[in-house]
Amino acid sequence: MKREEILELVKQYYAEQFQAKAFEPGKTMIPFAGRIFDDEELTTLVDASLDFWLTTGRYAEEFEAKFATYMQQRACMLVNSGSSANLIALATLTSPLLKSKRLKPGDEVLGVAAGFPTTVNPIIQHGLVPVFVDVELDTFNVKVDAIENAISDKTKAIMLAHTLGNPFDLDAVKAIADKYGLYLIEDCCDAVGSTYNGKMVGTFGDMATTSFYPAHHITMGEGGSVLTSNPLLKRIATSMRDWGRDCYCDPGCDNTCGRRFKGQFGDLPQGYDHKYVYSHIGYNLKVTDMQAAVGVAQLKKLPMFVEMRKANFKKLYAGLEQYQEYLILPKATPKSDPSWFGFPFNVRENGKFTRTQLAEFLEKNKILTRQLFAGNMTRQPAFKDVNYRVSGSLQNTDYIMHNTIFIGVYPGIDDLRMDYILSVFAEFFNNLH
Amino acid sequence: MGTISKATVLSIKEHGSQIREYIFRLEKNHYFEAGSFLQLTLEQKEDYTRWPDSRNFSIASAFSEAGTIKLIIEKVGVYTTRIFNELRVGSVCTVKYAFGDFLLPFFDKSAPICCIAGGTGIAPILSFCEQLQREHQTNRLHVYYSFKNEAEQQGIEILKSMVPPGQLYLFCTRQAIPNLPNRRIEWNDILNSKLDLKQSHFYICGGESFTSYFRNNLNTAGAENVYTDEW
Repeated sequence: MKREEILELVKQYYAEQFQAKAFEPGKTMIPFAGRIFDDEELTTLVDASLDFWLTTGRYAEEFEAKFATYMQQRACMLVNSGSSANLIALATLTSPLLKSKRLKPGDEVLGVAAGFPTTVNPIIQHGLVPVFVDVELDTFNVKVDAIENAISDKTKAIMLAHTLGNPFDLDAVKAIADKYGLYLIEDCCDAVGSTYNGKMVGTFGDMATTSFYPAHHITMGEGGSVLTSNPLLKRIATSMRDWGRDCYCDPGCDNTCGRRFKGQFGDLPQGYDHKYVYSHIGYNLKVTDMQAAVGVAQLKKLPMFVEMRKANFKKLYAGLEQYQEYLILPKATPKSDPSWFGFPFNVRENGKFTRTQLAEFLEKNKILTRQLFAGNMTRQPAFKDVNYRVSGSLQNTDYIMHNTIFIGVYPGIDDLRMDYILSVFAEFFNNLH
Repeated sequence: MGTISKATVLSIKEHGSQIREYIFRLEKNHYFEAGSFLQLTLEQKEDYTRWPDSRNFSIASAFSEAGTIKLIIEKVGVYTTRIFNELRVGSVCTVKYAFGDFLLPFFDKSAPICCIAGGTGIAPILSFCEQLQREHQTNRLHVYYSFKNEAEQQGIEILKSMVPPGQLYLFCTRQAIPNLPNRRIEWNDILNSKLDLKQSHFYICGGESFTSYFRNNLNTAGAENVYTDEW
């Protein structure tokens, strides 16, 4: 049987098995996120599996090159999740190859406590100290005027997410990073396609990370990437991802450097096989070519996905604007054009209803909601025995923990669903009177 | 990951009987850093099954949007002889690129960059020159380059046009050429440059004894930023 015949059958299978079901208001679930795909994802996935190369191969090469171009970066390294991407990005900054610029245990990394834990966890996992500053209630991003007060002589880096796709104030944060000689890692896991001052997020810092979990802008099931335009950081990140090895052979390749048995490394014997020389305490966080194959098909749709997210955000904003007496609506950071991950808002503390009551009403009506991930991270059980520092008050972070929810803007929300979502909000607020 | 691409020979320039400069056009043109190297195989290769017999070559040009790359290839063995015999203008081979640690300093944008090259070891230095010219930083360049004879030298016109006056040092080892020292580069030549050994970045590219000679001297003298590319 020819490969083309198999792939044609896969297309037929898609047409039979993945037909869109009619939307039934109040019965059909409207998730906050979801994968959007067609027969191309299925065929590239099967195509990659028929190669049976399994580890990273032609599809990974294609994805890394094209995604780096899309993100306006020189290098993209695929990893198996956005959390792994954050882990690799932070680990990269601890490399001895960075000499005096290396992060060492006890050094501090500035961030925020309102967000997803794996933006912060790598800091702790490497013996560094996270320092938390407060956030703004409408952008959900770091209060930039609180950053400088948080800087100590141990501060070496800033690691921040563009919350739910909304870029943080990159002019201000970059200026502070430059002024104090700090690394800047941009967690773009929720912000693929967002721009600031006309440039892609992720291009302002030393390194950027993305996620391709199904909830994100594009998916490959599990997956993520580390992006950088710094060749040294690229080299280190690749080593960290690939067991910490010094060798840079791609999977299935030997002796790329042509000097496999000629080098002198550490205290190893002269000529020790370069394939088994380790210059870092690394991980193995690679993806398979099947994952990358799905990513290649998704990447073609990404510009359309981004536009649909922006359009859905605008529709929601227009529809909810009338309830600002009760809701603090999200505000795009000045100079930014967010590719929103979701539509976050705060329920103003009022005598009529709570966030939980609104969330329960939405969920009862099949509109799924999420809180802003870990809320105030420092109040999570996992942080009980963690060495961290808080600079100033986390008043807004606490407010967000109590009052923020977000709903979806993902491309699966069409006009029918959007109208229904807004009608449910209308019903909720009408019931208040 | 490395990019596997067809590479079509656009031109060939002879530098004596043993060295040729090849210009290729890449079918897949992805960004690479100056100083990188690639693998070249004469086989037509598109998939990710086992990579066939190949040879490594430093890329002698910086990244170009036009998708062209320059290689300087010396005929030293069976495979490079095959390359000389089989690659003509219009021929198509396969390359996998780009790899390597022989890269310009990224964090430091001001300290001098001292390149010491022997023979075809000038290849990555030429890519450095192109890159630094684009970044308007050729004033940082100091280049020491030795070659056997006039026919085998490569890129001297490029070097003369890019390296500031008084910072390009040429040596011809086997031919007397007016105004050029007829000898190898010596350690004292580097010392005489009065470069700050702690701050400057030293790039050495050449044969094994050439690179180890300068690396050892630089390390002993306390140089902190020494990079070698040895083939």
